[in-house]
Amino acid sequence: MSDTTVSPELVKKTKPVAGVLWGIVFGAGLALLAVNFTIIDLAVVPMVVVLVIGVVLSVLWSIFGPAKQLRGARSEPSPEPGPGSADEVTDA
Amino acid sequence: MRRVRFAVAAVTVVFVAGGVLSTVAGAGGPPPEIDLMLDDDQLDQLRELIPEGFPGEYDEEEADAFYDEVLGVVGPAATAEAEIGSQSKLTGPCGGFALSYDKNGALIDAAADGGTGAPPVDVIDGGQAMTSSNRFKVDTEGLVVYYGFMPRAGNGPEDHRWKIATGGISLDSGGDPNPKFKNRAVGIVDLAEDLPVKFNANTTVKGDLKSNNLPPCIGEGHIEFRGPIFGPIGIAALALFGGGILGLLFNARPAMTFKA
Repeated sequence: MSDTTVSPELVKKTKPVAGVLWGIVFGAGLALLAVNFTIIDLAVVPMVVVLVIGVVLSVLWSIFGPAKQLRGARSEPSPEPGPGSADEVTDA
Repeated sequence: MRRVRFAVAAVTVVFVAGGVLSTVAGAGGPPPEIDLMLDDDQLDQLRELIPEGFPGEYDEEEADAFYDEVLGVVGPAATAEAEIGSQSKLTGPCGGFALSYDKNGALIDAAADGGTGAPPVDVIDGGQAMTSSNRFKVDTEGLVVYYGFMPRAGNGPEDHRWKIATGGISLDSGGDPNPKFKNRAVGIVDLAEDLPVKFNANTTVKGDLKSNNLPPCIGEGHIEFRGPIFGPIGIAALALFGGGILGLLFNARPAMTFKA
């Protein structure tokens, strides 16, 4: 009988709810900026459209955006430096 | 270190986006300068002449005379020859003029309507006024002088109701029995005092006035409110936009984690 070591598997965790909540803040700012810079009219429909676009972009970001790496985690182990390698330091 | 890099990236995105937006907004070039100017004394006299809330106390004969002068220049026929479209209109037995001044007393826009059913005329350039490409410019720290009639001659509207809306939201409404059948009004809208928050925006305004004895007067036009880009509204917008980006970068970004 031998001991087996189970290495934990890394998975990508998405945050769509946070994406929606921060998307509302982002979208509201985007809509107000668009009104302020006269890109859209000060009216309910165009402002809501821009807000929804901001929320959709945020949700997409929260699902498909590049994932944060674990602090201190390495994607692949670094190779052991062999004899005669370029990194080998020798005393003169 | 990673958080610092993201903070720098977020701030960069905010300012780049702001720069792009301001470039897009300024693509039409600087607004044309108009030589018609009022000095501070004239502006003060104007404010005194036209007390707020009592537009009827302003000398209507003067307004009538000015309106005749305006019509003498642009002519009622000019409205018919102008680019008539659905972008701005004033139908019904009503007409008048509006003069818009900035906070320094400079005339920034003027429009008049002959009461012919044709769209209003831009008194500055002679084209159709209040269209989406030629909006009626209003300084949020300035004032607008107006004169309106319904009709020009004869009894005014009896027991009238009016309302103004923008973007589907009611701005104001009111009415009056008008027992004396008054058919004209002149007044001033002092935006510097009436608007608690100054802003920069384009909007479409619709309004109508209905009465018991006259056909309804229905108007629609595009207004450009000129105010500080980075006033309270602009700063709030930037704060929301920047806060949203920071939240998305630090709190909504996917993360690698160990499978349970």
